[in-house]
Amino acid sequence: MVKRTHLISLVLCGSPIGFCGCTTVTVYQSPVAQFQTAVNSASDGVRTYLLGVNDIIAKGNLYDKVGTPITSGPDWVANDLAGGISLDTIQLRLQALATISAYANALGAMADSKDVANLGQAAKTLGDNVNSLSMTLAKADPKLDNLAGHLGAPITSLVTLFGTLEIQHAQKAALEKAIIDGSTNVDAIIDQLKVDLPKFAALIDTSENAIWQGKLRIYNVLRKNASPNALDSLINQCVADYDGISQLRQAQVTSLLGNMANAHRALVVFAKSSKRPKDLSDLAGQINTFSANVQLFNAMLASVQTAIKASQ
Amino acid sequence: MATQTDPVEALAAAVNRLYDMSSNAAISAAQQQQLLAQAHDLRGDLIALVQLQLSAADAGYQNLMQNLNNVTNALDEAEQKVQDMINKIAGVADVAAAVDNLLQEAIQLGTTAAKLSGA
Repeated sequence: MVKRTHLISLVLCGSPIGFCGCTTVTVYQSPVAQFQTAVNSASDGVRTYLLGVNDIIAKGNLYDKVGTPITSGPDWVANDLAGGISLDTIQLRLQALATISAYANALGAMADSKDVANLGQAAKTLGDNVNSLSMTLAKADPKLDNLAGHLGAPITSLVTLFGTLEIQHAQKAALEKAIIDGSTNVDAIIDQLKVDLPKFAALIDTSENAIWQGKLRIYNVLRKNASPNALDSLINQCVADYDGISQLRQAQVTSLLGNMANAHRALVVFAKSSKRPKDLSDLAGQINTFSANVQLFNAMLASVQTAIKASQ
Repeated sequence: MATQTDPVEALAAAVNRLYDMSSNAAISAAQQQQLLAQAHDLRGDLIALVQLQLSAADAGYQNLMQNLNNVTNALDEAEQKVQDMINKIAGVADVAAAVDNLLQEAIQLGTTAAKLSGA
């Protein structure tokens, strides 16, 4: 009976310790998961965008050659298809995004509650074993009170209660530390990408001009003797090329990165906040905006992605 | 203070203007050809300029990526510690089971010894 009293005292004394933090890691689970998904998806979209830009530069290189007299101009060489921006340079930007993705994935793993579910199983096993142990003790010495009824169930529930709380608080503390420690670097990477990626947009514009100058020159030569069918085919090809390029031109990579930065900033503000409902709704709002932007960006690039996959 | 123009934007605007002018029917074919050749050359210069500017930022990326990787690794380690806490509880459960087995054996030994000494 004394032991049961101790256990009850422990519960009563321990409860304030467990609950004083007011929130556990669970408050992060949904926003972090959404942030993680959006960052990974944005990373895929930017990859398509950058590879698409290089594809257009390569086309621009070839069509630029059409600008000089086709028969007497310089020979076409493999280097014309090399794009313009080295793959190493593109790869580094993609790696930078992948680093943010890895960080977001680690946040997601930490916020995930499956560890707590595992704890429940571990606690039950501990309770069962203590139960069995106390029965064995009672069998060895009948004078000993049978502790099974007193200890088995409370141990399971106490371990589950305090262990769960302790682990959730440990998870929350580690998560907040990572969000705050990583904030400067994530911001700096996004800021640098916001400076770099618009430069690719300038290359889209000029390469598109090169492509159209070349295409129209060919069109003007061909149309003089083309059959209606050949002319129709030429027009269809021009329209298809135009669509592909305009998808890339319309993809607002700067806006995407801006929303990624806002969502990340909201996550940092939330980590430092007192986690009131308003703090959570502010965070959810920014992350929803970012997620919607990513979906739009990727939908816009869908045709470009199909073209790149086909060329691969 | 005058606003500084981004050289990439300025050069891209010049290249686009040259392409536009090269298709202007009001100028001679020879001039069109000349403008197109200039546009072609400057577009090559523009790509080289962008490549240079991007390369200049490479070291900064490496540094930032390393710093963020350190944070991610620390978080992974923390997650492992959380897992270790759970495993410790499972370990304590195993110890309890082992002690129980030992006690059961001790009880059996005690019972057997009592029977032997009684006989």
